[in-house]
Amino acid sequence: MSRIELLQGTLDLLVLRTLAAGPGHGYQIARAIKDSSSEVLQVEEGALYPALHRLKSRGWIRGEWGVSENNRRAKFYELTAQGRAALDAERAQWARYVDAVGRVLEHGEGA
Amino acid sequence: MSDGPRNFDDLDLRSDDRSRDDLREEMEAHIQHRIDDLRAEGVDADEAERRARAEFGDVRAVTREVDRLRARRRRSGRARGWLDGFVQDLRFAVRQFARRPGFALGAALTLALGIGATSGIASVVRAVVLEPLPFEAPARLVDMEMLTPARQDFSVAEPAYLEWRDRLETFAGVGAMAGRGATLRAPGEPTSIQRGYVSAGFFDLLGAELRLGREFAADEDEPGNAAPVAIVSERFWRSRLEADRVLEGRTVQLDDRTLEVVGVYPDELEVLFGDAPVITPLAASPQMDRGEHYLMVIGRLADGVAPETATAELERLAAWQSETWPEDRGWSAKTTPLTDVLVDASTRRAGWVLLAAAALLLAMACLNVSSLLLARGTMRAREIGVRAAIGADVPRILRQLLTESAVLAVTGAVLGLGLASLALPQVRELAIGRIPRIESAVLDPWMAVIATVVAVAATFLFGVVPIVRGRRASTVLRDRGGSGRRSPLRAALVTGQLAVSLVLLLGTGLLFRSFVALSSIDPGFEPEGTLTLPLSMPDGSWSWQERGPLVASIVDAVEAVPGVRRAGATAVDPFSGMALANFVAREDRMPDRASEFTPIHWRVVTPGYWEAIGTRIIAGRGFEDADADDEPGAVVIGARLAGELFGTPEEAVGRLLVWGDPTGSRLRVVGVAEVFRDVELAEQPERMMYRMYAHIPWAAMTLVVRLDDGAGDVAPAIREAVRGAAPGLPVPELRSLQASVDRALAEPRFNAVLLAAFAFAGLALAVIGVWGLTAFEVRGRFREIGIRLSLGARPEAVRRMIVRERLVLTAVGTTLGAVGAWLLSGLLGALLYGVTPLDPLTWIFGIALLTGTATLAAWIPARRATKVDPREVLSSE
Repeated sequence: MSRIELLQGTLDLLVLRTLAAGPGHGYQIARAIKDSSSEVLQVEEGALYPALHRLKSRGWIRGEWGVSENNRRAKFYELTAQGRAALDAERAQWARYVDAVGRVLEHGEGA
Repeated sequence: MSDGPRNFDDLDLRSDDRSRDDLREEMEAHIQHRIDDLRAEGVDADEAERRARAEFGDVRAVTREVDRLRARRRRSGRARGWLDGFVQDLRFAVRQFARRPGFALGAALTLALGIGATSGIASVVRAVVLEPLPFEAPARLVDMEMLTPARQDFSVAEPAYLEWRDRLETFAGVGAMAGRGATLRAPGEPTSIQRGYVSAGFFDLLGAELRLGREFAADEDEPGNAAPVAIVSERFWRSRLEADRVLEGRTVQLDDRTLEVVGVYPDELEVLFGDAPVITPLAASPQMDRGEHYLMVIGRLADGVAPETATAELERLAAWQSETWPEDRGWSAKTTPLTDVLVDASTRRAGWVLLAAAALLLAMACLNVSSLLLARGTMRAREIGVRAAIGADVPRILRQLLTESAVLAVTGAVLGLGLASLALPQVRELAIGRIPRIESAVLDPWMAVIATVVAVAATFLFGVVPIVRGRRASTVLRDRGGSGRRSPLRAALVTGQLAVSLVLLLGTGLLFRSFVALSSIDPGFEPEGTLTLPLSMPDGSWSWQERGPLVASIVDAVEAVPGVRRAGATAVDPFSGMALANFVAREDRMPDRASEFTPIHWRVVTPGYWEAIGTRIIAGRGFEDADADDEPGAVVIGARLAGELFGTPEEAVGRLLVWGDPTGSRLRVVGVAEVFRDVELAEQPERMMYRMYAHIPWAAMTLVVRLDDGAGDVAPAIREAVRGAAPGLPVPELRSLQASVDRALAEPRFNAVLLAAFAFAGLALAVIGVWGLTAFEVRGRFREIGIRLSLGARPEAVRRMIVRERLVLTAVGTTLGAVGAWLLSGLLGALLYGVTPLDPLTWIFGIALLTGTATLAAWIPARRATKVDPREVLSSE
């Protein structure tokens, strides 16, 4: 099964979704996305941290230093209320997008 | 917007470095976690590390990417809360200015000059001119003077004053004061002071409170019998009486009398009493000589009485006095509002001129900064237009611009107010005792606020609003920016800047010339190497007959001191502000009426006086001891009087004069002395007459001592000699005549220095402003120049066109400025010395400098633009 690199924007949505389940640090987020997509979705580290920065600056997540399960210092992120609302909106958007793309593809096949 | 408390981290207030460290640590943690996982899978340490790092990729690339994000977000300027946005704006503004420190520094300093000068000067003017006098209802107080038969203002004699006080009904009260030199013997070292006299109830008349104690009662002010009591100045009370609140038992010794201190008058009354440390009862008497005029009389108008009514009554009384008393024949009286007397017209005018100059400077500073901002803004208008087109919100852009001009203005204001508060004490120091009420001048917060607000508002209005007006992307994008011809506002700014510059330049030039003239005044004598020593014989200590021989023996004793070349004595202490006035006429052309006699200054001197003070007898001779008994009495006159009465000095020698009025005594001119200024340097030298000490043995004389070159410190020996010759005579410190001359120059110099100093600031601002804006505007037309050149225009023709266009603006601005300067020239006239307000040299220089600056500022960039390849010019935008 080939791995798919994530489009920007999609990554934001996935990060939000991951954090909706509970706070986590960068490595955990990357792992969680990989694991829950059955290793199909590969998170590029070079994209993850800018995405985290972007989400933080929009006020959708906030970060705080803490200690990880491995007893290491790590920055833990969690959703803000604003982020939760954004997740809902993005999710709906995503559904519409997928729906639209899907319809185009089906229509195209039919022609 | 925000939900609950945000992390400090989220506010993005931290420095980029700290954010970067944070990110690096976070990424390192990521890698370590991956290593942990790999190790758990059994990979060995080195291999785990290698793989983890390889998987992660370039850490620095991520850092750069986040940096870019952060910078973009800052620039996109989407506000996230007010403080956040403000801090961003502030940092952006500071960065903008840091990129062009010359512009920012120039603009801030320009504003600093304008704000500082205006608020400082306005504070001084307010204290000196605008602040009401420290009296109750000062508008109801008038100065009452006598008028000589020639209708000249004159002080009042004691009997005349008493008649005014007792008979006038339209006045609620009339009081008198006077000043005279005296020697203060204790407490402290003996010093010569100005002793004040006031009538009983004088402070009550003014409605002025004493600082401490009480004023003189009527029974202490009985005619010819002053009680031994004194009121002292607050300054004296602090320095000599240790500011002791208990006055009981405190005394001062003035000449030979011991006086009980009963009161302390407050500092602010120095406006009236000058620096008189001790005031005693006047004790005016009707028995005194009606010809001895020396009182200043102040009246308070009765309630509901118009000043004209009161003046009319005074004039009627004076007319009665003129008919009744021979000494008063031909004299009349007048009133002047006290305020006008204490803050005289010239000071008031100087104040207004200073204020006007400061306002011009502020206007100039605002114009300069506005035009600079505007010119720069035209370039930025494109950037702003693009930002507006891609959806940046306009209020946000506006706020950014406001922040920029606020940063400039606040920096300027802080610098300017700092400058003003540093300069004010110096100004006070320079002017104390010379300019009334200057001591109360402190930086006035209101004036500071007003000047700052005006500067900020003007800067914002002219610098920012025009840019925002063009915020619609379409207009801005179409305008390639820089062309000055299309903007009437900019043309108006340039013209206004030129006009204001010219007014300031002309003011500068005139004041500078005055200053030069003032500094090179020839007093007509040699102040260097000359000492003066004021001597005043205590009342009753030496009789009229004893004084002549006494002064002669003092002069002889002093001349015997080694190092003394010559000594003489005069009744008028040079530059003490004292003057003796009278009238004379040629005997052979004597007018019938005293009013047509020539007014003169006169003084009593001893034979050695001229040589001692360093002036020359240019015709005839000085006094000789043998002249004492001659009839008619010998006099020496000054060159000016000799010229006016007789034509030449030589003609005057041997001629007869009449003293005072047609019935006066006859005097014979034995010599003519050089033109001489020892009252006020800035004025035309007085018509001078010298009379012999042997004829009029004055009680208060000033010894003038000329020393040999390199005589060293002979002052102690001179004082010793005087003590030896006149035991019991108080001997104060000797003063250098040079110091007195310097003091006399202080006030005109003060005005000139102050005006010239910030007129020079104006000159600098004018040149810099005109230069900067013109050059900027011409540079803005490089593209147009390039097009013209590539279409085949000849470079000289293009250069000429550019310069010609600027010259038209310059001509308009200069004309407006000249008209303004001409309208204001009357105001300046009174402050000038030795130069007229329409002085051609100054005008030509001012106009030439301004036109030259504007032309050169247009020509140099135009030349540069026409010299290079048009393609380069075109692509440079």
